[in-house]
Amino acid sequence: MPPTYDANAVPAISVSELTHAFKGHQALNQISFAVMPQTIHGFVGPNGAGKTTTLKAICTLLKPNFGEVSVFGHSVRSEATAVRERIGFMPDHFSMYRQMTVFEYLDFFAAAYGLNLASRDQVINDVLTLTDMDGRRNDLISGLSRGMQQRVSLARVLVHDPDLLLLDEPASGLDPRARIELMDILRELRRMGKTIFISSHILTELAELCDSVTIIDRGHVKFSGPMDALLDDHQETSRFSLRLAQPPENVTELLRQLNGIVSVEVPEYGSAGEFDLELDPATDSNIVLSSIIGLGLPIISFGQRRKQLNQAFMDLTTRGVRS
Amino acid sequence: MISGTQTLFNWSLRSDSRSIYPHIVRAGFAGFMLLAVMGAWGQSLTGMAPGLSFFRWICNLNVLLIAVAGISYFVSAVTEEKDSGTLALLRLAGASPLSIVLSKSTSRLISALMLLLIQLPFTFLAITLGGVTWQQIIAAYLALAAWLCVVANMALFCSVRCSTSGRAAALATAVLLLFFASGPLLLEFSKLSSVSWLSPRALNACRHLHDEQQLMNVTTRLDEIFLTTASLKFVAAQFWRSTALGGLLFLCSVLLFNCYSEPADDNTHGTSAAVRRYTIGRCWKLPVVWKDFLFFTGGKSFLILKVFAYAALIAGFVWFHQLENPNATQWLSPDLTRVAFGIVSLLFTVEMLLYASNSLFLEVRQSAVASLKMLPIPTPLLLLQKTAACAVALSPGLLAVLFLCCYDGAAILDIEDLPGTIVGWIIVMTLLTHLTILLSLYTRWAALPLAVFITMISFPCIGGAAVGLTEITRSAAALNGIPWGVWLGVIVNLLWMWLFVLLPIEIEIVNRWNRLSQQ
Repeated sequence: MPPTYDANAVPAISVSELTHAFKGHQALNQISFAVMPQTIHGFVGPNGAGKTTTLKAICTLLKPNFGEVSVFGHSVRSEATAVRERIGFMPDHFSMYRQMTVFEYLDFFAAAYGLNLASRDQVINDVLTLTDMDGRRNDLISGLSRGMQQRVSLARVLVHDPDLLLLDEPASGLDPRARIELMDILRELRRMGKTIFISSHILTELAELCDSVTIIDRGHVKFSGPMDALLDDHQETSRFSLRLAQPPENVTELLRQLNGIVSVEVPEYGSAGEFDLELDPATDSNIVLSSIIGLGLPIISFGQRRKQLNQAFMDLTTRGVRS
Repeated sequence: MISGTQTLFNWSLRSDSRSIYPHIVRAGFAGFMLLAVMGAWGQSLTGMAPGLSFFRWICNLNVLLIAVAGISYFVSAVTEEKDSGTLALLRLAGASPLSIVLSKSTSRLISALMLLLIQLPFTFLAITLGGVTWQQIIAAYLALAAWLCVVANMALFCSVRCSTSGRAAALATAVLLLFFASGPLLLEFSKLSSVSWLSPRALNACRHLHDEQQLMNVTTRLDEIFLTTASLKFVAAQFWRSTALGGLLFLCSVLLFNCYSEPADDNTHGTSAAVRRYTIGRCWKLPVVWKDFLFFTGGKSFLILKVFAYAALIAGFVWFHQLENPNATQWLSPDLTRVAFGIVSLLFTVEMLLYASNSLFLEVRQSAVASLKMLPIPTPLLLLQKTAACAVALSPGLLAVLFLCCYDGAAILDIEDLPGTIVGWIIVMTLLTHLTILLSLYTRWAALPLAVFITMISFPCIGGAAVGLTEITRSAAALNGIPWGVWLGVIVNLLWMWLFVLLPIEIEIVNRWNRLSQQ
């Protein structure tokens, strides 16, 4: 369940009219959005949309040409040090000192954040447990798989206990198991009260994971808000999905004859016995369901069809090769 | 094989020609040559044979630049692929050892030859200034080309043999130092006829080896060219021997390529947790010092190794002195103390410059700049910590230098002009290291030769200003009855140098580092 939050709370991230250009190329054009604390916010866009530029502006690495970015109320321009204390940034091409062991690597970053020797031990143990790397603490980083290195990198951004995690493509290059485990860790971190801002291309997993989402394309925000608001598109309210066990051959005809059903289609890539129904918007879906039950058809599931995130993404973003 | 070689070669040349920096360097070099010619013309109004002195200076500068390029630019030809883990990909793409070695080394060789070619038209102007003939110029450039061939291929061999660029640079440096030191050492050994246990055959062998070394030595050949006007041969034994040795080293590089193509062993501090607790331990309060000292400069074990190496070097000189003079009351003669000091200082300088050229460069290569930038450590402080780590690693060399100074300072330092010696050394070293660090953030591997070149051409200007300021300060101090006016001049010079030369470079290093963190 996504957490509830105070609507009047200070946003974890507030981006207002952010604009930035590189050598004549407009990377960001007056983008604005907000991320509430203790949520997972997905940041989605095609390659070259401006995701990494936005992330770098939020994490104080990049000074934008125009616009305001604040993290927990601190401006990234004027209070960069305060911002850095509260964020942990994992870039897409993260660096690992390959000669170090996992423990030495985390010890270095913990010491760099000013933790004393005693608290360093505790913190490293905690982050290793959280990322399930406890058994690999004395392994050389060069000997770890990509997924393991990703976990170490995540452990690294957690050593100073930041409130906000900025993750740029954290699941890229990971196998399905490692991706699922990473998502579990992120859910656990949200439960612990962290705010997570995650940029990713793996839309199906983002849809399950994120409470809110921002879709960006060619430097413009196309959508920003709760994930449900994106997926519960009004155009889809009259479309329902019906799944039957062993449907008779003339089931399509039978369904079409029912009151309130405008059309019946067999989805191209659907499961066996699955049908897409378009209902008359004026008809109550419960009445339609009663009618289907009345036909004596063995129903497995019946529900309003939700738009998939990848469909929403395709609808909102422009096709074509980006410069 | 040919298409693979051609593709790699084309790619290397294209990336070189598309990058603006090599063109800036060549244009800068041409501009410098023009200025040097004008300077020589000015000298012609007062001196004799300005063309020859100008040409001699240019040739010596080239010898030094080629040597420095050998330990920094050529040495990374293959190791840069090993460092970034792309060598296996090249092999998977079907590139043979010959095609990789040929394409990676030839593009660098062409870049270096371009710099030699650019000089030719200007050096021919030296003929009009007098004192040098066109035959001398051709012979000298052929000698330099042969020197370039042997250095480039020696560095290539080191690059194939070693698993990282740092180790290859260390090996190439050792080989070059050994080559230059072997001449005088063999000569001195061949004169030890009074030592009973050294057989005449061994002495003859030393003499013969010395002669062979001289036949290959580019500086000997250049001296011969400068002194000979009539019956000068364009190509001498140095050319043929260097070219042959270069070819042999290239062949060895190709043949041994497969034996040494494994990626670097990251396990330099041992795998056992107990061993690593001793060799590495916990992170210090200055974390970047800890990281760089242990994982960049080699750590405690390498530090101890260097202490022993410097001690062994000095002990070698003591042993040689005792061998030459069995009844000597001193451990070292003043002459040998000077030689030992020179070699130790040279090693110390090379070590310092290699650290300067790689300290920030490796962070850029490892894409670690953004992660370091995100730490709550201001960039200047972070850079200072990196400097401190290198300073710790340099301590054995510094101790050896100080030890020799304390042992017989009068023999080493020009006591008459001690302030001048100190100011000169500090100006050259700080400028060189600052430039090397800055350039390492712009170029891939050519930072060190470029820094040496810029320092050499800018030193006369800076040195002139330093001498002038020292004189003004001394006079002003004398007029006001202030003692130690010379030392006041030293302080003024150091302040001036820092404010107008080093500080702008430091600011640019910080700015460049910050810009790199955004990429």
